[in-house]
Amino acid sequence: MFFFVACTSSHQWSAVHPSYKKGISSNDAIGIVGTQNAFILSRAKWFSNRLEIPMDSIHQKTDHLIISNFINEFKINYPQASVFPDSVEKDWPTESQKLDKSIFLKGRLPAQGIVISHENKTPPYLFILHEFLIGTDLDRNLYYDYTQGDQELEIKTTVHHITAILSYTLWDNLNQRPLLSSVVEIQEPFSTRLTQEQLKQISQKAVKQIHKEFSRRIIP
Amino acid sequence: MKNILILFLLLFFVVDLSAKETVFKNDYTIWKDADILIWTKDSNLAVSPKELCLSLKRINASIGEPKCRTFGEWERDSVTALYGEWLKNNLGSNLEADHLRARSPEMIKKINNLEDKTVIYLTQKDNQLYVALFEELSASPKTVEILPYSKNQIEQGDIIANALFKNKAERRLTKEERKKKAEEPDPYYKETAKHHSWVGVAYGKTQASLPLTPKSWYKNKLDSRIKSYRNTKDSLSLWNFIEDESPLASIYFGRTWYGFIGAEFFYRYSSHKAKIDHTDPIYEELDYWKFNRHEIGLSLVFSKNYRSFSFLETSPYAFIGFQYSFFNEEIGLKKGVEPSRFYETRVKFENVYKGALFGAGTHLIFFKHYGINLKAGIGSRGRMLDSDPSSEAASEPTIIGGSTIDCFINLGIEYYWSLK
Repeated sequence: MFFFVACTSSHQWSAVHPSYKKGISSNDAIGIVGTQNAFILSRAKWFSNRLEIPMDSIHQKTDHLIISNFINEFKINYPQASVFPDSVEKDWPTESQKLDKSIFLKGRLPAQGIVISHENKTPPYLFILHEFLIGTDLDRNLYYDYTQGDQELEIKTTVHHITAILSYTLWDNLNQRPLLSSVVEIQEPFSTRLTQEQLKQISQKAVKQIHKEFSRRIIP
Repeated sequence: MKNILILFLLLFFVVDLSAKETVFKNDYTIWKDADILIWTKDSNLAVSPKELCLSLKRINASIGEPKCRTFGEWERDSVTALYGEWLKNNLGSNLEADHLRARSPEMIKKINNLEDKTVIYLTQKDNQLYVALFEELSASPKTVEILPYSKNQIEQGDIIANALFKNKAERRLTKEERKKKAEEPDPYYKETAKHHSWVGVAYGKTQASLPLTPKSWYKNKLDSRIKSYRNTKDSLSLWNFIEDESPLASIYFGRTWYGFIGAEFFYRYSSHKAKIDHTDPIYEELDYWKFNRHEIGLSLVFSKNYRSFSFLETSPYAFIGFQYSFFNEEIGLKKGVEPSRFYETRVKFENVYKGALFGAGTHLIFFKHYGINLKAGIGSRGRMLDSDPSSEAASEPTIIGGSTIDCFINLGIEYYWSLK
């Protein structure tokens, strides 16, 4: 019975601040923070073989491919967005945000009372990307549910999906509060061949999902 | 003089009716002779410390001699300044305490070091006064109230005092007492006793028919009557011979180990009248005929303890056990009547029946020692199966009461020894 409940339970994967009443519009200025160090590739060898990129540059190349595509897509949806270097978040304290009973999102957030600006730009919102994980057949429960963190991950030889797991916070830069924190999971079906185009599609899907979450006022 | 009195009454009237909104309210302590520190990031102070103190004394008689002052140390400090500014921007309705939590470790440290001082943070927004109350050991405000803003300092003091300091004040503790209290375990976190021993008496009811089961199961047995002191339709169950419904009394003692497994020894008593057929003239000689049932047994108990409140421990359990039943016959003839032949050859029960019982219940233990026990179950008694059947088993007479089953429920009072 408990096993059954444990297996079927669905978690809440985002938290919304009560003051986040209206979704942000595409004309709002957003500072994108954390993109330089957010990318993690798991099963590098598998990707290296499929994409025919040598092992010593697989992390770097996929990082560049996916993140730059992600930023471009983001800027299509929010033209006023600008990328901040990771150096702005150097002094930010690392904190855990609770999304659900056992789901915690860990990441750096700006201090209370300090407005972040870069090159004279002070956007009202910051999009803080904490993690961007790419792998095969991943499940976000295993990464963000602390009750399942100790489970051993079985690497299957047959791959059904390429998975991207992103965690981010939409930050109110002027009042220093997390408006929306979320963990997004994207599953891209995989059959036999993997192309760079497919990886680009994953980041497109991720931006689409984030855009959807931004414009939804209260996320169930 | 009269005018002043009316003015005062009016003032209270206005205060009590004034609109206020409690954003959230968690428990906090109001200390006697309190140290109230007023902290604000606004340019003007909404209430003067002197007026607030006078209001406190007026509104809360138990507060003694409070001391109020502006919290200059925090108004000048850069760490608290950041949090103070942040609070000013972020105080609003529909928030929970966690939304207003101080995140900077230095700020948390400053709040933790408040000891028994109370900080009230004030900020004025659109003709409303937002008040957040801070106490030691909590990074978030204990309570946030949105109060009407008044330019009248006396009225404003009354509004704040009414909203936050109406409850009874507690005596401030000395340094030693504070230290001791800090080391005391939380009432909800006290270790529950691992071993319980108890003794109890219980009273209840026993009957053959199980609730919610069809009557037809028992009809034959319960309708059966004894004819000629020994004949019934069937002799398998004793309920063919005696009344099944009876009050049940019991005494017992038991013990659990590690709050999980336990044993209970019990003695139970009930009295059952023989079911004679009154139409049979043979019974005219009979004055009374009944059987007193004595049962002793031992049951294995599986339980789990829950600390429901600081004074109450609940311990639901299930039990399974065995018992020996003795039926002690009491029979008497009317005065001066010679017993008939049927009387002499009347039915005889076995000396002892062996049986099993199982069921469930719950102990409610109040103040560690006084328990209430509710228990229900099913018990059986039948022939001794631990002797080998003889080779002439077929020709042996049937055993009366080979399978007698009843259910029971009882309520007990108990005394507990709880050993850590």
